[in-house]
Amino acid sequence: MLTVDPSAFTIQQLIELDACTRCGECRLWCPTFAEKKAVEAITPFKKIDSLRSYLRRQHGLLARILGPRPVSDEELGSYAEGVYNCTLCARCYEVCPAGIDLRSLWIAMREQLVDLGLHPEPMNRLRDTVTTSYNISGDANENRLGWTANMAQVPKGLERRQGAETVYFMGCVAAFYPMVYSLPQSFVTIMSKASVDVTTMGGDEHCCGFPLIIAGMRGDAQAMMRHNIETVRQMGAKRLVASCPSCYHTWKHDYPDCLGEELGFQVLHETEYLLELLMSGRLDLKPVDRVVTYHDPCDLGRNSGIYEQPRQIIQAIPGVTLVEMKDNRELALCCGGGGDVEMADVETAHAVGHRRMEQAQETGAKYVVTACQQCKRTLLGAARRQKIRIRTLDISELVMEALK
Amino acid sequence: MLCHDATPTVSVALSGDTGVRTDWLSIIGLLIFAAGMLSNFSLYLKGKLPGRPEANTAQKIAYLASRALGPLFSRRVLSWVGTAVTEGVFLRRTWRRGKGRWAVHALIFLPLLARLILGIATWLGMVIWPAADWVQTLANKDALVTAFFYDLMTALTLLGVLLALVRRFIIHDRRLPTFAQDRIALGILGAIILVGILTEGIRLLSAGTPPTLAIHSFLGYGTAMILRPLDLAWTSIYPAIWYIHALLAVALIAYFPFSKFMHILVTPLITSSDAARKRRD
Repeated sequence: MLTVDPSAFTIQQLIELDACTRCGECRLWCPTFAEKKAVEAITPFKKIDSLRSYLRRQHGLLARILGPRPVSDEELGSYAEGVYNCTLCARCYEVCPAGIDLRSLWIAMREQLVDLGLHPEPMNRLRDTVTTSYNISGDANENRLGWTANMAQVPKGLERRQGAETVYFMGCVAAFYPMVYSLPQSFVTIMSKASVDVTTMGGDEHCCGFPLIIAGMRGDAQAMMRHNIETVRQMGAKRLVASCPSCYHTWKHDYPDCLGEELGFQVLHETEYLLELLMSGRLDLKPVDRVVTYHDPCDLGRNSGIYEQPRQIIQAIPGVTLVEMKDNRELALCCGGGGDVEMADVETAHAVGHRRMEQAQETGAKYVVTACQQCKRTLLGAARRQKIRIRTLDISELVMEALK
Repeated sequence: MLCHDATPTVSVALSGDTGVRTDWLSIIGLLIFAAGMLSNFSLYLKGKLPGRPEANTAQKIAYLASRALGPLFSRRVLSWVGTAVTEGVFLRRTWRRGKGRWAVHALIFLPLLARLILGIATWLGMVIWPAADWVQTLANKDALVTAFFYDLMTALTLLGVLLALVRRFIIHDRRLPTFAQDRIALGILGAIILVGILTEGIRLLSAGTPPTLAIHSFLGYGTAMILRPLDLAWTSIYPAIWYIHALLAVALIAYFPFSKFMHILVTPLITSSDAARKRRD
């Protein structure tokens, strides 16, 4: 009999299971449930209900008196499907009247499913790839700067330069997926124009660990996390800037937890740093005639609280008009690219992306600006599949276009 | 006990006996409640502490105590109380999500809370200052203020339960999937309220309370007006209906730790803690 172990969760999480009021608000806002309405197991509501029921059956009062009751394979299979069909966008947390920290709860559920061996098979492949190649694509990690190959002018000192003030953490998607190469290219060009002393970790940059952490395999990410921290420390940088919100969130929150101490350098997202450069007058911008809408990446907005910086950057560019989508800021719809759902259920991930592009289309904007390489990649794919004529840009690309 | 002062003792007029003796059904209900709560608490203690997976039970209890009581002894006490009231009692997050839903929930929760507070105050008053005028007023079911307050709170709760039923079973709000425990919870709550109103009506009839006094208990009085033509032996019926009302309350108490009612205790803690964390961030 499989035992659902309560020690996989924190005390607060176990209390939170009882704090769920069963109001069902989360059902309205869950982006994957919206695409798979027949699968109630996806809803936050049902996931909590199921886990609470399993724990009660095996550790509750009746279980103590009469002995634990089994949880069937079908029940656990359905539960696992629900848990891994989640983009971890945290919109459920935003609307939960009880304030339950749902994103952390979903990750804890995944960790337990990994312990029980009930996680989807593609997650094992992900683990193997990341822990052997140190990136999510499986390419040779020393090629992390491959995106510089077709740049007209490559800024000097990008390959692990000792003593540089700023380390640019590229992230696996920007480093290995050609459809978003323009993102790191724009970022380093802007840094060069602003005379920022910037470098990268080159082939010593390992995956930040985020894909494994959200797959429920935090333990497998520890070595890479420690390697990254030590490398930046050895380089003597004062700050680390990430253009990927997931990398940023992991560096900012998970790394100090992993170490149990402060990192010793500043961690910024590209939007925070670009705004700082704009405000200090280090970037001169020319007018660009554009009507754009902004897509809030989940790990930047809801999970890191950065909503206004990207909007301030967009509005600081002369000639650019920003129009908001129906769901924005705290309630922004996910692009479908989060939570490793693409690996567990690609159709659902695509359906979520399609819905987001429809929302962008409704605004009448010709450009969707975002601040995340994964969102850009997912939204680009959605636009192509749906034949929607809207260009998708990272905010660094928009700033690059406006640079004098 | 839950919504007004009462004790786990019962008059034995039912059996033709006189005097007062222990009501074992109430005691059993309370014991089930206590066992359920202990079981829940011990399940919570099987969880780990953030960043300290090796912590033992004593350390976990100390952690919980410091989380729960720490703010009371800190400089942030006023801010903590403010957060607890706005988030835990007046449910600011629910208000932000929808005024209608907040209203339905508030109609059920706030009157019950008000009755609970007054019930505890009455009970404490009876123990500490039994002769005090205010205690006598609160303990007197026919006193204008007491009768009107309890009936007003009952009316509001009943309205809340009716609106909840409409949302679930008539409008079929798509947020709300209804499972057995939702039906049981609403059923017990509704039955307690309806039988409570009936009990009050029969009490007024059996005691022969004059209309000038009885009218303050407007729900009970209305019920009494409807029942009066039946001309039954109200003094014999009253103890039975009172006991049914008490049994339903006991059933609710016993069911509490195993049901969605647990959220009444823990949600305010989680909501307040989340709001405090957000403020810190």
